[in-house]
Amino acid sequence: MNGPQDIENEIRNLIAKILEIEPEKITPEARFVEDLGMDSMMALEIVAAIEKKYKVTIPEEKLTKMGSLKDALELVKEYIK
Amino acid sequence: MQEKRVVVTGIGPLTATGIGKDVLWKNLLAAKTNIKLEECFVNGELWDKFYLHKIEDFNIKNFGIDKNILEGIKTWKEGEEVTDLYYLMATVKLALDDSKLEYSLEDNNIGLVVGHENPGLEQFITKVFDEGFKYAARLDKSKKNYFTTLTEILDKSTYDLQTFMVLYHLSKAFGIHGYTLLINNACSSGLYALETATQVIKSGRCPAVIIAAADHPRIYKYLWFKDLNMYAKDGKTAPFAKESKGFVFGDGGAGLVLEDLEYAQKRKAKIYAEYLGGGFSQEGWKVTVPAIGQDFYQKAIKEALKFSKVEKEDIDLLCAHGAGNSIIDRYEAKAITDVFGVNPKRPLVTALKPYIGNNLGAGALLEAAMLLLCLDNNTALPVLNTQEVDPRMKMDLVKEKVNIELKTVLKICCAFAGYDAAAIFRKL
Repeated sequence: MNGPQDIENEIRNLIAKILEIEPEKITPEARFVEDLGMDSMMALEIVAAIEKKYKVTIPEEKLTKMGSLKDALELVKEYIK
Repeated sequence: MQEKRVVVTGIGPLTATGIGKDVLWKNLLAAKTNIKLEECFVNGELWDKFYLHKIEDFNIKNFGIDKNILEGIKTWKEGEEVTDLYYLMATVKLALDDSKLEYSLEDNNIGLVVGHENPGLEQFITKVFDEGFKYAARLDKSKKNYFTTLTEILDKSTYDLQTFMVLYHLSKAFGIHGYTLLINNACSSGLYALETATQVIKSGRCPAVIIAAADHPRIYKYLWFKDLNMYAKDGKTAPFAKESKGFVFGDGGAGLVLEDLEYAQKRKAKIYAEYLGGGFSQEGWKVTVPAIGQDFYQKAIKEALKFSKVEKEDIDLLCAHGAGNSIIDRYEAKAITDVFGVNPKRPLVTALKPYIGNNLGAGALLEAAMLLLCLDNNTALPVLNTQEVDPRMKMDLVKEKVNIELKTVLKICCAFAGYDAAAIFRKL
């Protein structure tokens, strides 16, 4: 089982790949849309990638809550079995 | 034995823009719509308001349906007016009249396949709320008494929510005695109905099958879409636009008469087109957002091309779902450009919701009916309301009416809950 730091790094790398930016730029508090230029399609790609990687289902009403790496981590922790 | 071919011989559209194919086509050419502000009051208090393409002054008695049949339904429904059922009846009647199909009302092999998301549900919810409110005003706090009382009041309406009752009423009204089925695959229901009806004809079970779909979306569905921030506040849906606005509901539906080609030719029916085949896939991901990054929609379109035995270059005009929601539109545009290439010259791409609204469960069938009218009139209708296509979508839309020889057309739909569908029609 991966530890919290591993999961954070994995999600950071996953987001960096979709946003095509350096992982270092994705600080826990950096806002996906305002700071990192993410759009709605990219956000959904990230959700799909996270769900696939961690075998979790993030409910639709939570999709808009994922505004930063910190938010994404909290969501994954909440739904990871 | 040669496989049977299935053709469309009757078109019955029911929309706020026009009822019946001739009136509708005239108004489509004039880009005429009937968008109204719907204000919902509860006991005199304004609850909410929203724009929709509204059919006004609808009266089922104007469609030439047997008076006794209508009286019988009214008696069964204990006086309740049932708009969802009446809309379906109107579309079936319009399509049958257009096809001039004749059959014995006592015994026949005519089939019926209906698409609907929620027949009678909105009306039922209102009744439940009303009766619950009346009960709450009493001093009786017994939950059992509450359940018993409401069950007594609602039992007939609850029974009638079962979708087999819709098929029953429709079959009885039109003397249909063959294969019948009701389908609910969200916005794509109509295309699933089309494919199912075609298989029924191809199997030799029925020489003709009527397909019909309708919707009458009101306050409860609106509140759901409003909550999702998916409804256009100004009442103008703008497919694939840089500034997307959201959905706008539309009243109505459509009926189509499908027939075995030989049967249609024998009775010298007007043939609009052959239904060549469809493609279908289920995303199996979210309900309100499409499966971004997957290729289920592409798969459905490619499957339709394969089953139709046509090349992508053969498609002259494509009618998109064009929901007017940024995410869904971009998902759809990607599917289109993945299959047909970036900025394709062919097919021409149009989207027809700005004319008639989002007709939800009947949307795909209604837009297919409109696409068939385009085919019949060799005209590609422009997409209204979209001033500038989102540049990320890498495709153009029909901007002005185009008079062009059309031979093969494609209707596609990506519905909520991941029902992707595509259907191809060709002139004989």
